[in-house]
Amino acid sequence: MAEYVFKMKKGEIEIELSSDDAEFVEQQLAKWREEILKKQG
Amino acid sequence: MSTYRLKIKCNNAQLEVVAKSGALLAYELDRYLESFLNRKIESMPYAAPKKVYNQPQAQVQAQLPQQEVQVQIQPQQQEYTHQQQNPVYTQNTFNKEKAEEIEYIQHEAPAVQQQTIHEQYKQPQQEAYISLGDFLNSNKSTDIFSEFIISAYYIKRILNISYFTIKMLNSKFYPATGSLVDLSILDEARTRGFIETKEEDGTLKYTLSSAGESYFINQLRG
Repeated sequence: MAEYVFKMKKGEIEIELSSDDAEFVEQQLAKWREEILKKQG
Repeated sequence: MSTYRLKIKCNNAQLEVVAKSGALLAYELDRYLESFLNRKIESMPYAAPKKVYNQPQAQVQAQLPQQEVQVQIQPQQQEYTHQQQNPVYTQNTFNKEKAEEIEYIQHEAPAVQQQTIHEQYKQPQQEAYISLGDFLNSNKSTDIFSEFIISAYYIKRILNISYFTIKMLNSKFYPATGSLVDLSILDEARTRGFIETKEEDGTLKYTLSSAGESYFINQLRG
């Protein structure tokens, strides 16, 4: 079964999310992306 | 049943959250989202690595919120104090021979005999490579197409990655430029013979061709 890994790094903190649930990882990634773009905007 | 895993690393500490419920992990992840985004970067990602790693673990744990699910704290394996003349090892588990090997690489790495055009951007061993943003600024990036060619060269010659996907490229391109490379740019580069493609596991991968490298060296190199 495939495992999906989503890793974010900022300064010295690193957050890594991994799961074999593709839909879950996709949802979390979309949420983080949205928040990042909102913050940049 | 699916497994969900969340790892938080900060300095010398690592927290690992394992859950069988996605909702539970999403809740934990949300707790970090705001503080992560608002966090002030204390050290630049391309700065030389610190040589002293002896920050007390308890201090690091205090910076992170309490976990409500299973948490495993894994001690940092490479905790040691690095001194140029007399190395001092603070943990018995650390391999002394390995430390000496690291010291040798850091202080006695042989000088580069001959630099080629492709290698001149690289930093000495054990130091960080030049960032894509700096690499773009040091070359003639006038528009998104030239930025793409420079980035493709960067991936191939600086990072030594032969083939890249558009997703991999954009993960570096977007933070450096604020723009995304789309298929129209790839098509133009392919039409002009600057990139070559191959399909691997159903994914299209790209690399800068010889013509693309020549274009970079003759037209875009700063």
